[in-house]
Amino acid sequence: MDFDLDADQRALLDQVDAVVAAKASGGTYDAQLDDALRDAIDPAQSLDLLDRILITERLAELGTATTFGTALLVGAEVPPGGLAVATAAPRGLARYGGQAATLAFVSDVDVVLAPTGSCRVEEIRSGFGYPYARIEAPESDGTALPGAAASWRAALTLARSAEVAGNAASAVARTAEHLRERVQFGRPLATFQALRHRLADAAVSAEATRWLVREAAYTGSPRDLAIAASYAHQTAAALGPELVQMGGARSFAREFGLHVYTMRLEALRLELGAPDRLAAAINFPSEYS
Amino acid sequence: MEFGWSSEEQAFRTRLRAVIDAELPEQWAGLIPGEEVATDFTMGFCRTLADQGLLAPHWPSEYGGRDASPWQFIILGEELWSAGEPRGSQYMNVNWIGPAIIAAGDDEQRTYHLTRIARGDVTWCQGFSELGAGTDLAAMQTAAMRDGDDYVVNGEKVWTSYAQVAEFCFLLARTDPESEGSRGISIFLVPTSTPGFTIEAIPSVLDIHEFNRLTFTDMRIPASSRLGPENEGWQVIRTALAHERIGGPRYARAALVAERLAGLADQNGWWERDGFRTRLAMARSACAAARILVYQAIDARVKQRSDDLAVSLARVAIVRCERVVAELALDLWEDDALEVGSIGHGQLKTSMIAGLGGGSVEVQLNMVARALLGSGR
Repeated sequence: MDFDLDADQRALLDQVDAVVAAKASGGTYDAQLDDALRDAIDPAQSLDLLDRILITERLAELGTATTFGTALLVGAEVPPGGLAVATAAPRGLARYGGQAATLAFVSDVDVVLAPTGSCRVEEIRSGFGYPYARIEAPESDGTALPGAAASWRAALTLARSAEVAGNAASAVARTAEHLRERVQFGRPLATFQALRHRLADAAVSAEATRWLVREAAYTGSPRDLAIAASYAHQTAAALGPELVQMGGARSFAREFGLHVYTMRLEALRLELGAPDRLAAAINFPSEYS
Repeated sequence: MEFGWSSEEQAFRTRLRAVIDAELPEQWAGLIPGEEVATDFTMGFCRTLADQGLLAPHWPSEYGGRDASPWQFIILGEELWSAGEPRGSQYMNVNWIGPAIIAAGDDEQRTYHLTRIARGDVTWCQGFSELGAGTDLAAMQTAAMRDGDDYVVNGEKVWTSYAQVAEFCFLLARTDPESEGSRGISIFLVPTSTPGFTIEAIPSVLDIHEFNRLTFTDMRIPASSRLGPENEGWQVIRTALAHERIGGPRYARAALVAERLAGLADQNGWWERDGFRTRLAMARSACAAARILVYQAIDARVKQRSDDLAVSLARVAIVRCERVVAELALDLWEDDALEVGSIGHGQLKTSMIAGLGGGSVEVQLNMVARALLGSGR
């Protein structure tokens, strides 16, 4: 048991930070960032699941708009131009479906990869910090990956949970900054215990999510993954409204910046699915795949 | 970063489980932690653990331990709490009283007390809280005035667990009457049989746990019973309390209860009850969250870094998981939980204690907030 990053993990995250610092273009999707990450962090190198999760979490924490983290988790190869993934249930929406060069359709039985140009893509109006599109698989022209559905679903769940961890950490940090700076009734909000305890409570959830997800990535155990996903969902569902409340009306304003994380937390919990679905994976692991 | 157990740690857990399985009587599994504080069984069980080198493995070998890592300490706690804590009150001895004596004791104190604790044949209580000094422990007023080679102690401690069976008290008293706050406090290792030391139960609604009032009336104790330098007991206490906050891994007990609920679900038709599946999953994940945060604190301890923040995060998560599990149990057992001795009743009382036993959880929230927001002043 060792909770410190080792030298290789540290170097990996430093690489991520450097690429993001050089390429990130705010909160909107930029294929150049995806490709820059792909060039800098060769997915073919021996990255284990924990390494990949650390990268995914970090990208979320930095507020980036990239498909790289998810792409890194679902497959050994990361296609150029970004990868968007749609699952058959519940609705088949894909984050970055209107932007990524490659689309993946995960059904109950297989995964089909297809170039965006061959698919029907309809971007939807959504204000959750990520762009979404409704996509339909091509009738032909796709590359099927038979038997890959289960592993892709697990990887997606893990990726989303890691993204909750990253977004939660930044949302707590941004809220802390706000509470320290904002003066009301003649003193900083950070001096009001009613707010201090609530932020501390949020920090406990954020921190526990981070470590449960990392642990699940390390063990690869389906039960650990199910636990981490359920907990991540609870964290996202709780912290979204809670931190917005602490940020006050400013939380709604894009210029304030908290929305990048809080709205994504909301999006991620919706992507993860409802609590009862996540519970099934914990309570009935043999029936769930 | 890695989250695996070493082969040594795995072997330790396996060996411990074998001893627990062999020693625990059949009916023990249904009991609530704290219910048997110091019976013949718990005393005998501790001696058995001691004989097998399993009572205080994390202590230095010169004091009866085996120099095992803090990971074995937490494995020990997990296994015993999830077995209903058959050490009774003695978990406290090995978790923090012994370590405090190792840290601050003189040769004579170490030889006498540590030998007895490591053998598993002594019971302790802690004389900390007072009516005017609970969460704000540094406001305590119990006084120990120097008189030649002795101290004369006057004052009162309240809400003290295990005193009814304790042979010794780990007592805090103010030795500098001019002092305020955390300065001027000293620690004393006092036999509860000392003349002037009286113990009476405080009637409470907890049923599963006994509270006591300790009164000191001109109690004369030798200066040799003071632990560490005069007036400088606070640092020793701070370290001891950090041990206490996560030393009893209550999440392990809560996780066990959650698993029992799952095991009883078929026969009771609970799977079909509205919300049960989701709430059970949330209870299980809450226990896992507390566990991983405790591990983070242990990791800091292993690396000899400050574990203050990690301990506070963990303690908040522990309280949460105990409450989530208890609430679920209560809703499943409904009015069966009204009867003292029922599992549901035990869960209600466990939940009531959760945020207060080992110090109020609000202090831990304060400490987390301080790390995020500064002092707040």
